[in-house]
Amino acid sequence: MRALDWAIVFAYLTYVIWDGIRMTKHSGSKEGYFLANRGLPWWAVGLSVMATQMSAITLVGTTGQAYSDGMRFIQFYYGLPFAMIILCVTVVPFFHRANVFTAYEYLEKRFDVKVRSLTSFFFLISRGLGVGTIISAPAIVLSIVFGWNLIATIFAIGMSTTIYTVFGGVQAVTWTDVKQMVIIFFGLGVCFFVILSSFPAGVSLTDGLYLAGSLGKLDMVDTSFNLQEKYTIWSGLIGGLFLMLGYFGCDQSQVQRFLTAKSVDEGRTSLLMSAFLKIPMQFGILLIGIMVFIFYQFTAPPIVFNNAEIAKASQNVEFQGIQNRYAAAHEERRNAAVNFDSTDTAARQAYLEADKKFNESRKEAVAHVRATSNPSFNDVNYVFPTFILAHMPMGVIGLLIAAIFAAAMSSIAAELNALATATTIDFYRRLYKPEATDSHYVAVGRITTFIWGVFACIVAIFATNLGSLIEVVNKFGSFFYGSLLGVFVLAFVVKRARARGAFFGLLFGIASVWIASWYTNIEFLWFNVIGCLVTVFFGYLISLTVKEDQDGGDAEPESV
Amino acid sequence: MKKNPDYPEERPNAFWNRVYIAVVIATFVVVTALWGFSQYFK
Repeated sequence: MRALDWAIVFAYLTYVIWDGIRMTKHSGSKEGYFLANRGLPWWAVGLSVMATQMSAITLVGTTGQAYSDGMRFIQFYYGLPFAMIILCVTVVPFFHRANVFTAYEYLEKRFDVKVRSLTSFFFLISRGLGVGTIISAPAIVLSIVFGWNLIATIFAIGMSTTIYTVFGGVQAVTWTDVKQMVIIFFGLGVCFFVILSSFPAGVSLTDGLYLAGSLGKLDMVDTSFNLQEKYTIWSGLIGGLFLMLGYFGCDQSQVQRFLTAKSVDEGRTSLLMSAFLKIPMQFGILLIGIMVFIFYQFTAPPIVFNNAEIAKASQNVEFQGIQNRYAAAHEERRNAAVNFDSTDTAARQAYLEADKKFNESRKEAVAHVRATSNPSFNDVNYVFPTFILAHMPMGVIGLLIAAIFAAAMSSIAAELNALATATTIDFYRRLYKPEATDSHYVAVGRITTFIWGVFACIVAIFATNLGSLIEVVNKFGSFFYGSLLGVFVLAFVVKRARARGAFFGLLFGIASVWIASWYTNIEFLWFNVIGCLVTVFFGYLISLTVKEDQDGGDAEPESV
Repeated sequence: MKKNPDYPEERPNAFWNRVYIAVVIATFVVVTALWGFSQYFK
């Protein structure tokens, strides 16, 4: 990175922190700090919803995934528009009219304080650990690719976000999200055209897409019904639907976004913005990964996308042999790609065979790294940052690093704000100090935001030392969504549901997902379906053991 | 919920039902277009 790139990154960080802090003046009251006085326009909320969902690892991981595995990951989002419609009909009006600060507050109105506290507690556990990984994952990648100090990178991302979230509250989160989305879109747009201009003379985008298409990397609809297959249209439509319902409808970090909207209509419109834009946006991000793939058909890619592992392995004679075979395989594939013609069967076959040989030599290198250095080695997340550093011009590198920072910070800020809101409203105000002034709750909100920010950075440091922890914590988070969704389904849909049923139904739901994860090979998207159905089933059964007029708060949900 | 004079009253359900149908149709069109895109370059 050169001085201009550093200047862009520092300018971005300085601007975002300043922009967030200046929102302090709108955050003096409890409603202002936690809910922006319920006065934000739909487009700002909509962009904030999308920014919160897109973390840095989504950005670099998705492009890397497209490079290595193609575009089939997009099926993950096919259930999202349908989830948004269901949420617009149900939770948006319910939560808005109930005038709640948190999703879980509503559960006390419907059931009792135990159900509210339990759901909020599970949210704090899963998100409190999850936000640490949101920081650590990009920090690991950036520190390895750019040679930065890991802990300094963690604190640069984590504490800069904490500072403006502490002062500006949800106003700062939302308005910085808007600007961060602009930076992300602009950075990716520039990146697209720079890669396109880097293709060799005579190779057009269409030619490149034919290359990728011939290898099946552009497949985006898999109609096979296989519970062990991660991305199919069914896992996306059904499992993804439940996941998105749980994430957007029961996770405070997203619920808080649409609670800040001016009205029910504006809240609905903000969610429908994602319904329309999310799939095309993911297509654009995946397409950049495909562009990187096409670029590397004509330029030799690193044998593995992790310089530290290459440096370690290069001392080994066996690895040097693998590198030689890899270079020869790339040369053969490059020639086949240059001579590729989609209408010429022989040329097509030659390219497919050359690609197969190339992949085998790369697999050999990955297996060597796993055997000699890192058993869980996977370089998908390193593809895009390595490519940026090696092939992007001065200035664009800084812009893309700022975009990766923006993606990380937009998610972290929303999570910290939501964690602080749940801690302050669901626990501190509800259980410890119910009658205090607005300024008192705002002060508590600021302190808890800071504590969660420090906690997240500490978790991030530990997560970097225990690579598998990242996977564990991500899975851990996905264990809760379906079951939490089940509690809200009981609240909204099942009139006979009672507090005891919801409380124990939730515990049964989470237990069922743990059992499914340990004893079956079912892919994680289906956990959301299992958790939700088990929670609703047992919640209903247990509710039947309670007399109709007992133990239920409001016996029926408030009308929409 | 408090009414704010700065923005209009809630739109009727019929309006939102049309919007939801538009979302479903748009999703179907987008997924079909993505399928067509992958088939074209296959």
